[in-house]
Amino acid sequence: MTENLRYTSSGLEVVAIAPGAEEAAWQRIQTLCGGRLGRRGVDRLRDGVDGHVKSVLVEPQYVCRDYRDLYGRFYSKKFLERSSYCSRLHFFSDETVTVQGAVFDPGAQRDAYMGYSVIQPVSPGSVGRTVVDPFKIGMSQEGFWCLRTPFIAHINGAEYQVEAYPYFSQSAEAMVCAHAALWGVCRYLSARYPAYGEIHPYNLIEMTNPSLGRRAPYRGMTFSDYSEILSAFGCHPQIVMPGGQQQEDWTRDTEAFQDVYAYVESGFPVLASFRGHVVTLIGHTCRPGVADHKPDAGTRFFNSFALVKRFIAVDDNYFPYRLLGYRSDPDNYGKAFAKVLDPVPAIESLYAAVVPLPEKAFLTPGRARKLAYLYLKQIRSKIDEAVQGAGGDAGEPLIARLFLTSLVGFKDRKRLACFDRPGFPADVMAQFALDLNLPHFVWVMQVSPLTLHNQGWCVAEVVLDASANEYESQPVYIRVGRTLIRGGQEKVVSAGLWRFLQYTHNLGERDG
Amino acid sequence: MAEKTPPKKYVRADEFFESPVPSDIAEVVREQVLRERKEAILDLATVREQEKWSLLANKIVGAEGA
Repeated sequence: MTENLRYTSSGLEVVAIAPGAEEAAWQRIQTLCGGRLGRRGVDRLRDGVDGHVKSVLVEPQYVCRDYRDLYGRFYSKKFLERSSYCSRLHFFSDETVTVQGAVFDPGAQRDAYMGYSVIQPVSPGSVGRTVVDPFKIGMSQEGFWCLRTPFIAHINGAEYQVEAYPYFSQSAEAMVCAHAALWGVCRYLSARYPAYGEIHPYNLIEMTNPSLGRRAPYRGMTFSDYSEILSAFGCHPQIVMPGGQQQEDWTRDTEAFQDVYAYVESGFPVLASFRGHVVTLIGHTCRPGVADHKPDAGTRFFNSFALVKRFIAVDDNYFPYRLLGYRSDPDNYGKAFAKVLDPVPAIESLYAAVVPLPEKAFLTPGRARKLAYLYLKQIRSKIDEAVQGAGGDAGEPLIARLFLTSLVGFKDRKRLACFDRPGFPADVMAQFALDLNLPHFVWVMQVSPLTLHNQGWCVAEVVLDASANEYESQPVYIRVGRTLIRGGQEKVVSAGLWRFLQYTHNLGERDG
Repeated sequence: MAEKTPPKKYVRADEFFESPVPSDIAEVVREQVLRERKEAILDLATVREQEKWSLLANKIVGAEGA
């Protein structure tokens, strides 16, 4: 296809997705995309946005930096000519969108903006960089904890913002699922944290070690590749492998699953391998009870992993935000792989996980959990007193939630807790944490009885220095009810609250 | 965002600890950790951290169509 796009009209057009006429609308979108959007691409997009999208604004010609990177270094070397241009689709939940309105009055459409998808001239994997807000495609904010970060899109100069986790489907030629997953991790991190530079798809292919043969077309990546690429990107990857090589019964190694969950709860995208397939875990949904999980033998606390119903997964074979459940879960999306993968992807089928950690997170979740439990055991009577003071039920299971967080995020939430807000009285004791000198990263274990936990409250927290080892560490501080403990001192704060807000910043706050 | 009222005073961490009572929690836990380390034949956390991952090194994690 020879194109002369030099300085012609952008050809923006809005296609309304009327109920009952979706197929015709998508055929129109395919036409506007100039043949780039194939049937598989349509099905993939409709799988995610159908029922929510009311209008699609089509940019027929779009220069995508990710596709141009692949084009320049791979597709341009092929004999058959293909375009270096993409198309881009902007999704709106409002049927009244017009080109005029979208360009000249973006403020009126911002709430309806759901995100965008780049359509590449690649078959069959035409769905390129895609960012769609999960809360605008039917995911409920209630109990759906998911990584999102802001992405900006411009429509002829008008700025739109979407909060999402980035997605890219594999081309099955230049890229495989591992590249797509790794691209998502790197793009999420570079979009969220300025410390990471942006990398493009062919960078990942190029960084794949050639010792097992040529890198492209489609050679799978290895764990060594993962580790090397993430290290070169600026992360410090950690590998977790439940049960080592013995993986017959996952309940024999619940610690490893609690580690993986702790990283998800800490806001790290976790690359999860299922023997030949890899997806990224970016959050979880919750259930109200601990099901058949067992409490910690020493403290009788339940790790909050027991409350995880499903992990939220980004799998390049599907539109993002799939739900990975246990094997017995009829709604586990992994069942779709029954004919090709054994065992099918499920929470307990996890083979190995790779986590892109920051440098200064030296203390592992296993050791942080052990230390935190030991401290909590020492203050058990105070926890019971705090549960009573907070109006909790002393007979309920106590939930312990462990997460790693940055100093900046932690202090920002403590700062907000100092304010008096409707429904959230000022937390005087939050000022203590706010004023402390803290390391860049801390492990925090927060404890609450089940009902208060499900309502977003806790009655105790242990804060540990993530750069310390377990022998040199003493807690940064412990807060239980109205009592503060640090070093060799303890003090009751009579004006303090018995219960305080959980910190969920890593996966999004729900209280503003 | 809901209306919010800032605190009237910035309270420093040390102000919370005027006239504290002593606490031995940190020391008790530290001694326990050291004791467990001495008694442990096999520390599972250490085993996990020091596990040799070479069995994974060349394992393909994702390939065409998967």
